[in-house]
Amino acid sequence: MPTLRELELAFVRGMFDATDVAAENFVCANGMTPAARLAIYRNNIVHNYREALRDVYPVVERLVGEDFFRFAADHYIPCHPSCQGNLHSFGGEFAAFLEQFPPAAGLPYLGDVARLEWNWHESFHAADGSAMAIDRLMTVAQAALPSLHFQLHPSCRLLASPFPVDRIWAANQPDAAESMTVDLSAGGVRLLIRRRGDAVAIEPVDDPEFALLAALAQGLPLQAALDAAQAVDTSFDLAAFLVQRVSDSTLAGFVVPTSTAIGSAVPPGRGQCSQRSRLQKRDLSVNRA
Amino acid sequence: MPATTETVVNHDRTPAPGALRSRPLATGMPARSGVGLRAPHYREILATLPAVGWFEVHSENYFGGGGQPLHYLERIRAEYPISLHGVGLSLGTTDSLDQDHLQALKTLMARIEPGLVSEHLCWSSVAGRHVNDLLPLPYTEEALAVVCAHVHQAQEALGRPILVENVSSYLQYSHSTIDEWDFIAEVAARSGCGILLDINNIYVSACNHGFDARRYLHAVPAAAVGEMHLAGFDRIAGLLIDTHGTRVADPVWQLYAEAVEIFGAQPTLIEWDTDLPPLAVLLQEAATADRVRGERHAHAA
Repeated sequence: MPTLRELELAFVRGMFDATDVAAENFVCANGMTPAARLAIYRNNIVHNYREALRDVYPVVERLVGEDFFRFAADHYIPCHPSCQGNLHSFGGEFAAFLEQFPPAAGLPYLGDVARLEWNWHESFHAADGSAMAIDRLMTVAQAALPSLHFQLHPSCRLLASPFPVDRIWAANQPDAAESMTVDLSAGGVRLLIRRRGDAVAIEPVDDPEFALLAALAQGLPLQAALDAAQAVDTSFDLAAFLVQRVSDSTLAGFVVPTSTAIGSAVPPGRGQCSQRSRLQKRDLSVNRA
Repeated sequence: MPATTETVVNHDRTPAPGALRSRPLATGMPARSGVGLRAPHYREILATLPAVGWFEVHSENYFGGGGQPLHYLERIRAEYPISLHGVGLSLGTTDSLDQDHLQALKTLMARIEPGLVSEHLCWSSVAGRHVNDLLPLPYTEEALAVVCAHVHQAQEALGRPILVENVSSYLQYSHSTIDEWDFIAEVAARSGCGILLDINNIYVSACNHGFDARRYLHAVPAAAVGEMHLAGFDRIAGLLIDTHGTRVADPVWQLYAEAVEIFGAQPTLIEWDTDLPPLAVLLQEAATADRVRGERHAHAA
């Protein structure tokens, strides 16, 4: 007689590997073979995961067709276990899987399309953030600004791709015009995926702003994020960025670090840093006036 | 709020040790029919406020914490009682209970203030791997101890008793030593949880395994039953499969009528998860459940 743990381990192995028949020893036949009884569960489980992937990746399915999608899903499912009781968390590695899946090699943009759909899915379900009042930002001392840690709204996701995946996505929506075509050589995109109200929006962002948002998303302080933006474009306008992204709730809050952290965020003697710090202060004062 | 003149269920449990046992299973749940809440029906429900007693959702669909799902759930909650029905806690796992999952449920409960909170008498994960399906347990003393410990932990963490639902099954284990009806009765007795009696699942499992569905009903402790489920099944290759994709079958309606005689009027859900029909079909099924319950309850009284 197996322990409950032995039974559960054998059962789950057999669900993803039909050649592992250990669990058959624990099941009554009673008019149907244990293998056939376990196969009902295996079919249910795989069917549920296929449907979960179809729900999250409708554009990928449309691009490759139902049969190929099912073929890819059936390779993905056994090798990428679900690690949560919430089925909405399943499928997050499908983009990376597709990029390494030889039969899909002819569609080099497929992985990034999947990545966009996963970001859309996460954004759709993400928590509601509270709106940040610009007034609150204006109460922060000038000297503290470079070291502020801004938090993006929980629904914000960032995606850079060498392919025009936003246009591929749009052309494959149910309501897309039949005549819509996508020029794959049109170049890459940098995208902010976020909710506006209840609806998920996919918005192109220019390179310096993307660099800044990506740095903030990594938890870097404003100064380091601004450095990243200005490394792309020295004329990047921080004040305009702050006004726009606070008012549209992309920036949902900020944390003022301790005084020690302020000192370390803008170390003295780094000319480049202090020069950028001045730039930023000037921009902010324009905004305040 | 739709007109409700029926009794509001308030399942005060038999006094027993432990603070949770004195808490009611249901808070503000009418002993009427409810239907499963699904995204394609959100707008129609808000626009028409149909005369149904309550709605039930799969808790995990709202674990994200925001956006459209919670926006609609909160608006519908303002008009109707809500039952939170979990499909992923895995009460029968030999792993420890997933504390993040429990916390997400607790957060959702604080926001929705559900009338009922339920889970399944099953397991769905081991060694950190989930199968996101409702797998049957062997009915042994060992499994009983695991489930009772997990129900106890869940109730302590959530601060209220939960209901545990019998699942349909397509296999039995050769080393089971307890009948399923005695097993679920014992879970309720030991942990103080309530029972969500799925009439369709009893019928499906009775047909698949050759036991008497009425015997099941009569073995369940009446005081523990706090909700019933009704759904449709399909017959595939000689087995009944609990697909939740069709209307409630006639023999399940008959079994429901008998259950009402035994357990009295209980909140009763029409479950429909695949091939979702128009809302009107769900409401018709709910009205049928109301009629069957009304007739049998009056008859029993």
